[in-house]
Amino acid sequence: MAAIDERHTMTLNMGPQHPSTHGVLRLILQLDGERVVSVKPIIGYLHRGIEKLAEGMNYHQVLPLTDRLDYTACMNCNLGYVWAVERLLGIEDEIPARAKAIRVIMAELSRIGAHHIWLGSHANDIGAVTVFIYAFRDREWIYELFEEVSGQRMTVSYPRIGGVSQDLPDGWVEKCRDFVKRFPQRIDEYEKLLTKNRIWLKRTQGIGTLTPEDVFEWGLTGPMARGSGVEYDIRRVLPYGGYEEYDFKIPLGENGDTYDRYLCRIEEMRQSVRIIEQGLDRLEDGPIMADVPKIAPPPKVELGTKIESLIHHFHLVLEGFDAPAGDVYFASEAPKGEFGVYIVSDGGPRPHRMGFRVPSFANLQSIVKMGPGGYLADMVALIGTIDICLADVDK
Amino acid sequence: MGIEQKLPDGILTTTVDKLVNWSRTYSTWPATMGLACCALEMMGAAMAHYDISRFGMEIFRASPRQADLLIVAGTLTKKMAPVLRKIYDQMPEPKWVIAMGACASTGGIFRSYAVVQGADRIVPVDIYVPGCPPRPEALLYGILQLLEKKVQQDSIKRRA
Amino acid sequence: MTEDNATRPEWIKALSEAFPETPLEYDLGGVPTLKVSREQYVEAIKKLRDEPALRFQILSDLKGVHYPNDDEPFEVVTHLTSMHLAAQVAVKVRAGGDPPTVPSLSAFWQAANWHEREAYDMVGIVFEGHPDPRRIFLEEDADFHPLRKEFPTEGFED
Repeated sequence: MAAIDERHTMTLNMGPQHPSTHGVLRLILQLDGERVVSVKPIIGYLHRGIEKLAEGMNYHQVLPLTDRLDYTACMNCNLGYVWAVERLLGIEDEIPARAKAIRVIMAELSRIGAHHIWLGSHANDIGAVTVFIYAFRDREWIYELFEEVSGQRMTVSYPRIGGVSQDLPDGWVEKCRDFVKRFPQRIDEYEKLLTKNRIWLKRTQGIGTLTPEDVFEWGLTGPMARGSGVEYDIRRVLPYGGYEEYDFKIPLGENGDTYDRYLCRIEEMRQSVRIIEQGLDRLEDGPIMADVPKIAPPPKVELGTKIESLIHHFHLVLEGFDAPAGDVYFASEAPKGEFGVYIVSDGGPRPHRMGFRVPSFANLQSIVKMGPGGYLADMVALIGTIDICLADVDK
Repeated sequence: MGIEQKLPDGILTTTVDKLVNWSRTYSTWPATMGLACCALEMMGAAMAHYDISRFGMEIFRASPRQADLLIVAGTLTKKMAPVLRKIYDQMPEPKWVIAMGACASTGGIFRSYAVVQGADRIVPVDIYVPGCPPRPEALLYGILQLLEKKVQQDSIKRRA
Repeated sequence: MTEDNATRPEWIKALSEAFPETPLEYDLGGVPTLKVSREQYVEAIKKLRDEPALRFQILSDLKGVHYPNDDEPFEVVTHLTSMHLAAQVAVKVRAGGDPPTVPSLSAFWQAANWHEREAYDMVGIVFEGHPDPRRIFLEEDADFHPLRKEFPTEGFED
């Protein structure tokens, strides 16, 4: 490839305020007419210092910060964090079965919700505005389910270290079963609009092709990797949270282009519905919090009757629990890729280092590889296919 | 900009004022400044379920030159602050700003080195909508408060 | 958590054989951790990635950590994942000198590029040989590294 000749290229600044960058992403493009010669992403416009803030809080207090990482899939980020702390503390085996099943159901609902946002905004940028409106209509369904169980639509902070914060209210399981029954028809609606649509095919096939070698070279995970045929799904490779008991397929793409990644994510939505159904079948009566009173907050009803619960509650709220000294890295499969939490503990109630390995950060690097050679209009398709969430990139 | 500068001093208008206010109020066009999580609830407010277009705000303009309302939805970081000011300055008068969410109002839960503690340190804010994130209905309530404020102001007498 | 020789999976034996002088430790999640010197660092990562028995091809994470009470206070932790073995491994190396320096992986592995820029921006570790050693989150002219322990969370200006 010839070196960039500055006299013949135009520099175009895209963002940070731009309708198609899905947030505050800035791209400096060198264009030769409509062809992109080079892409230079500049990020950091939403860097809020979450890792630094977490160092000053105890482990229970960090939970609401994780909501604001990938805000399209808040439940997944909460769960990834909570699973990591439970591994640090060594209480993974004490999580009751009901809490495990509820967590899996919530994780998959959140995955479907995140894929809705991806589908809506990706399609909207390419021109299919109807899909955007349909996707948000269906996301409201999931929001209602979340609101009933946690009180918040989006930034739920529902799991707790040791279990979940509240049990499922009456009627929730029936509503979720209704969702499982009726939602696949909605996916069929999206597919009817897009999958065989000539415009969609022309705008996505052959765009942003990545080979399996590219996937390893650029450290891509999630649907970015699976679209190129690399079968890396942490729920299968390094199972956690009870996923080893669930039966689901992992969709893989063949060509590694935008269209294949679209098909992968659509199929993942269908597989998530299957997992939710199995989770609902696995729900048995039982406690929703592990019996580790020094770590897991006691149920609120006991605070007025049992003195030990009150003392534990005070201690947990005022100081927090002491975690064992050492470090741990826990990876979970978020909708966008591998969501990892690296915790270094010095034996005290606050983490020494709370590192978040966020999938969009690593996946966004690949735009430097995929952008050049394509048209300016394809940049918008590429941003959509990488499925970034800027709070996830910038932490 | 706007009708105020076209009239010479000393002319008092009342009915024309009301007409101008009414047309400005019920066709406010917001500019997209969705920064973080609140942007999703803003989009939710614009979608079919909560439908912001019944108040005349169907179109979220990407270009600030065509917008008259800036909804700062999300955390404003120090790196983004000059960009926000630039977008605000590019908007023609008369213009209004809604700070949506806790982060835009006061910095929210992020008391850190990188976050501006409130968008009102950078741009003048008319309405603050609290919440983390505020429900779409909360945003709609804030917008309705703003529309009430707009419809009552004396735009021509005010001489922007 | 350690395991004795009889129950160790095959690949951990392969790992110990590939790195005979480096003692294997385990983190609190049971992930084997190699503490290497700066001179061994690049070779160790290349061996983990390219050896057919190991194939830790996925660069999961690369972070910088500041331990202010240690002699060499800056550490770089790299986590690699192998689909082939369904396993993870961690590699730790301490940065030396002033400014604290570690060889860069980005020269041969693009996946490390932005992670190393983040470690430089946040902790101040310089990666020798990095093709694009700029800050990534903060402005170019920022003169502080926020994740250093002496830096206050609220920053200095208001």
